[in-house]
Amino acid sequence: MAKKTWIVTISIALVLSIGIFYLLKTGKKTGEDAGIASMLLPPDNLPMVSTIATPVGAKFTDTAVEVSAEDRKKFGILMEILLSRSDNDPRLDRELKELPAGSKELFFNHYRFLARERLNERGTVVFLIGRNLTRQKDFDFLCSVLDEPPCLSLSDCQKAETSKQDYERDSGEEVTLAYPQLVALNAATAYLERIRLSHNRREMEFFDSVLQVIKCGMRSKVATISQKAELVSRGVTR
Amino acid sequence: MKINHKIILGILLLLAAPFAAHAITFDTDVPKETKVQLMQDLDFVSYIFGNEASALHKQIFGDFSGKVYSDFFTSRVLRVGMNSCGNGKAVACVIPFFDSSKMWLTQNYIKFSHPQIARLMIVFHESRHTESMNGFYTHATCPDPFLDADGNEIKSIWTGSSLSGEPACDNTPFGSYGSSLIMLKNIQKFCQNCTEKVKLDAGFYGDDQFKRIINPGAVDSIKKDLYSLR
Repeated sequence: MAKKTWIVTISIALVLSIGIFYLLKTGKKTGEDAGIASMLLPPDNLPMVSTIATPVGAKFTDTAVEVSAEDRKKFGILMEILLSRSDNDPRLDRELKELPAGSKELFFNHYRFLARERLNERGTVVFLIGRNLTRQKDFDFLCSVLDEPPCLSLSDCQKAETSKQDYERDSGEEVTLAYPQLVALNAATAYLERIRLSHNRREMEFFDSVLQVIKCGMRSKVATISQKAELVSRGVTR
Repeated sequence: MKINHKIILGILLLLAAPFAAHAITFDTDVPKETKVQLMQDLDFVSYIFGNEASALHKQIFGDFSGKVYSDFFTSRVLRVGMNSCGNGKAVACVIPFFDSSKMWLTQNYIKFSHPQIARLMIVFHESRHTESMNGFYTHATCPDPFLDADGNEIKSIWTGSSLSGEPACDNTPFGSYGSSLIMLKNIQKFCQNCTEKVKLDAGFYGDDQFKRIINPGAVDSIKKDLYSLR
């Protein structure tokens, strides 16, 4: 009997050790809230958290919105996904498909603290909120993203790259540099398209709000965004 | 005390399976994080599936399946090493003069915050440059002036540099730009187990790559293949 207990104990220890080793090896880490997440090392040497105060999202922090345990759980899932750098995590379309107001508060807040160079992470937050446009402040958030100044290079949004142009290998770079804005504009465009197709009364309530988002896109300093927004606005009729 | 070695071996093999699936040799100086990231990206593409594929996709890759993508990549890229690729902004390159079956990655592969589909686009683009039997699919020179459909000059909106006269275009749907855009647009349209984000990203980057195709015949064939199905 004692022998069996030993075998079971050693087996559990072994499985746990392999599991911990595997988690460390793949860099998958979990965090329950922003505090934990910001302490975790990012998977590369770009800062995960903005080193300078950024006004983007500041006005979206709303202490009146209650944050539930479920909201914290959703936020923890978002942290896991961002740290894993896996964009095909099915939880994006399952657990994070619908976001209550409390979850969005946590997500807004996280966007504010992400360094500007974390373009995919920022775009992911915009994408998730862009699928859940249910309040005026959600539209205001999209507008604030579109109002951001252009990110000038992948390693430092404040400075244009000084190395010589590499035309082949920077292909796709422009998309990444404007990624959060492209996602924001796409969310607004998709919202307009849904209104056009369904004339859903609830969505119609925010018709002017979504038009305002398109206008924010039109005044973007990023040429590709303002051009796309201009095209969208031409197709809009009341 | 007798530990069941078969069970332990089984657990270890299960853990190693995703990595063993790709027979790629890494140089010893490839950082662990870079290696793990590339493997995770290749694993992602190796398990996607779709029930349809465009005609050009069938010509280049075959059916829409993760295994097809995996085989496509691993039959071309046998070795991976680290290199600056001659530019501070580069992410990956192939230098046929050194080794036509080797892909070089730069530290930017994990440093820059590209969406996952963009990292895949870059390595699949480079994998096309390993094909010695196809002249490594070297690029065509972009026309001068290089204008878009609305008559605006196509240039970097960030640096203002013009692409006119630069070797940054393709004349065929089968080159590096064409094949990667066809892969991405098929993922956008037909992938059945991709997240909405992956499909959205595939559309963004696929459309961007399309700008680099300059031959009118090639443009028409891609349009017929992928832009009129919706």
